[in-house]
Amino acid sequence: MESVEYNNVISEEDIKKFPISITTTEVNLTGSWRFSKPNFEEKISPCSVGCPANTNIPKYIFHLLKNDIKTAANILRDENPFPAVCGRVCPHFCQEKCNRKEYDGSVEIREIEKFVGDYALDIPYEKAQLKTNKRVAVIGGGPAGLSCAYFLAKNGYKVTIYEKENFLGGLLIYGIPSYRLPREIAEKEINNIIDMGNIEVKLNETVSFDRLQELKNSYSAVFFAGGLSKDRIPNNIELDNEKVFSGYELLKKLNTDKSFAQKIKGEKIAVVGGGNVAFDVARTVLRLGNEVEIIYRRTLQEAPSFEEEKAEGLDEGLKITEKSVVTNIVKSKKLNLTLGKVDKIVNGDAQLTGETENIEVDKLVIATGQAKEFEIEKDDKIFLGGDYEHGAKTVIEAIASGKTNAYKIMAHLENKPFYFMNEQDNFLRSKRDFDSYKVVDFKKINLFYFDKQPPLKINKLSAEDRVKDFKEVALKPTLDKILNEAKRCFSCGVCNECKTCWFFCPDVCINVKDGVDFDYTYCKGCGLCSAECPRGVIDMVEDK
Amino acid sequence: MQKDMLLGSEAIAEGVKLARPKIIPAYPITPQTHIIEVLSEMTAKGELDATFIRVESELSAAAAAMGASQAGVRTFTATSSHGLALMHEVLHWIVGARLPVVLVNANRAIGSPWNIWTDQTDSMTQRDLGWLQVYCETAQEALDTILQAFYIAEKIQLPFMVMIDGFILSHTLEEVLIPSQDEADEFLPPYKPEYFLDTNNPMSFGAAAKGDIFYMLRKSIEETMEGSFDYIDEAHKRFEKIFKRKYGLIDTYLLDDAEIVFVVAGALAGTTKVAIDTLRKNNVKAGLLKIRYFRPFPKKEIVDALKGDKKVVVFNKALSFGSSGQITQEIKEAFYYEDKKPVLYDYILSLGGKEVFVENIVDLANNLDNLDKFKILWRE
Repeated sequence: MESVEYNNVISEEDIKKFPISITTTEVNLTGSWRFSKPNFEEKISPCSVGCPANTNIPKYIFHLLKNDIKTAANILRDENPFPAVCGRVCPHFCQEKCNRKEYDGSVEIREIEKFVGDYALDIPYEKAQLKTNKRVAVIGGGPAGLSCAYFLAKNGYKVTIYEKENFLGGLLIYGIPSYRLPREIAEKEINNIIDMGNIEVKLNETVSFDRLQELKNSYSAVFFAGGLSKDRIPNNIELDNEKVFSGYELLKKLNTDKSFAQKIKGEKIAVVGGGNVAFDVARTVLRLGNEVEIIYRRTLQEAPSFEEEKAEGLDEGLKITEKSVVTNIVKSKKLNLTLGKVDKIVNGDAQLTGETENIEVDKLVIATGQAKEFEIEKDDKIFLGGDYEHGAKTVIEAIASGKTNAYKIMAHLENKPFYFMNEQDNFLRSKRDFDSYKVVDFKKINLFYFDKQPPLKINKLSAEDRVKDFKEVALKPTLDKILNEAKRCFSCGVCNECKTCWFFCPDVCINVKDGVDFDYTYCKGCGLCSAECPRGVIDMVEDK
Repeated sequence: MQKDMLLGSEAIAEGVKLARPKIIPAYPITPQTHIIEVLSEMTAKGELDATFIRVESELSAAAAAMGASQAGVRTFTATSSHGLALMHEVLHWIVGARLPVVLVNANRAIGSPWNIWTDQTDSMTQRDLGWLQVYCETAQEALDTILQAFYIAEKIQLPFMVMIDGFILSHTLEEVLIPSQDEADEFLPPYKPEYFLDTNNPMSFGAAAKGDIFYMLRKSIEETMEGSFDYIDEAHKRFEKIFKRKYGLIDTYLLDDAEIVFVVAGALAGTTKVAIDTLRKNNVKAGLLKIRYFRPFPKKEIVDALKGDKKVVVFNKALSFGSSGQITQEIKEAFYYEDKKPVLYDYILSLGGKEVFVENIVDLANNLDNLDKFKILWRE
């Protein structure tokens, strides 16, 4: 199809001897030539899918690189109220999914999150408005409960948190040692949530099964995230809280009774278990000047603790006795332990070889897992979350569980479908069908635009230095290094206004501002923008 | 004016520097490389206030030259052989857009087989573009032609191609007179384009044109070519006045009384002159017609120079397969309506750098009667 005035693109009046036109070429509506057209569609980055809380990672990195760290912090906290905590203790499922992993190593998202999270510590949330008279009780003030309370309060619900200890935070405070998570960091993030308003906190409130039934009647809904508060102890061992402790009990005692640490200094301590708690206990008492031995019934390689924890622990001088269980304890002034060598483990039970070994220790700590205190069924008023619901998992999974349940509760109370409640403040779950989201895979990235550059190396305190006290092990990188690392982000499926499309468009019909606009009057549908886009946000679609 | 011993390539670079171009997009190729090497050094050192654009191919070099010239600045580029062939499409566009780009082509054969030595196949196959073409005999002529080329191209708004023989001129030391910048500025005023890309005065260039207008524009190029002789003549007079060196569309040597005339384009003219001296000593009346301008082709001057009872041997360093040497074709065409035509020998003297020595030319003259004027003639 020709546009009407096509003949006049160069007119005889314009021309002397040069092919010059002073009539505008705008009369030539090149858009009429098109049979396919570019379509701007942001997609989901694999890191966001990897993150249990579905943090919009490319988006906050984009704002960080635009020097707008405040917006970056807000985007981060829209999905997760604990970025500073997660920047330290999260195993970062996002990095496992990072498209850059296949290229030259995942982006160190954790360090970037820590940086933005630390900045956000001093930014209070906007005061939450009360939008409804519906009240929700949250049982358990750990990460799951606090996360649930945060999302409910933000959306205008009145929340009451019941916490059995005299402080909030759960294992963020008494579980994770401060060399991994400085206490003041966790406290600041918790305080920020509470200071937002709409949240009432009741400390020293143990909610039993019966009490729960009462609360059910006083509240519109109850979120139970009481955690796994019962110690799971091998049958042949009895805790006495003098010489034999559970992992959490010991950590709690060290936390609350300052003289206790002094009292046990120099003792030999055996820790049974291979999870994070076992390593946390072991590394903590190591720092208090004790000799420590971990006794684990499988091999170190099989131990479920984070690899980072194991490696750091070994560097610090932890002794590990693999494939061994405590078969007998003789209590005298000290503890005389008999260790049985494990042949194999069948259905969770250790079968022994018959070989034994005796060791003498001052204390024995059992960190072989936690169990539910009592069984609760979920019903139309009771929602379950956190470790109580999904078993012992990571902090971010607890946060995600609190968040999901907050939205389930709101949807339930408002009698609306689940997705409806998320439209305002959750970028990923705001669509009806989560699975229909297009995730940008490695093949979609235009590697021409990315030079290979190895990931940021994180410096740590030396092993000798860190066992002297409880200083944070991971050192903070400089701002330059953080920004350099942020620049490595492909920004998969998320427009970061790089303007590559604008640069290549031969018809000058692209405008990049808060996304990409096309002037379809002139777009010929050549597809250059789509082919060149480094991050796969422009698709060519058929245009009839 | 100062005197120096320079390679042909260096002399050209000096000429370009004196012309004060603003943009030099170029891609290296043997035997042109020295030219742009020196120019890139000059720009890097700040001796030449120009932007040297390193491109990824000759196609890009030509495209960048077109863009720069369209933006209204004096633009120079240089290439050779396969590079010129790769530029071909954009060379058409530059003519169509009437842009006064000046290009130096170091004449070199085109493969296959691989060959880096000189012949004129590369530029002869570009003769129909609408670019002016001049073939140079010496480094001095090459330097001078650069200044003339910019002057003429900008007057008539057509691009200008200056040819030198690869290696024979480009890589050979020669005594060269380098004009002073003041003299050069007096000859070549700053370039002031009538139309150029200008955001304050928007207009579009090369937008779609239908047959009627396209036809008119092409006719205008031919009319400009035909009318360019006056400008070339004016440039030569002006040049002589300032630099005291005389140039014409053609050049001759002992031509007036010559019975045998050799027609040559390029550095081969020098060898031929020595051969003519030798032949004259043996009482053979030989002479030379050197073709400087191949486009526009100076028919009138050539007919005037060759008329009379002469035997004319046209030395070609390229040929149009299935027809004849291109220079022969042009001369034959010039004589079509003349009553008295000379006897013409279509001689393919050298391709791919096949050496031509004085004795080859002398022997040829002595054997002229045995040559078949109806055939393309080849050496043993």
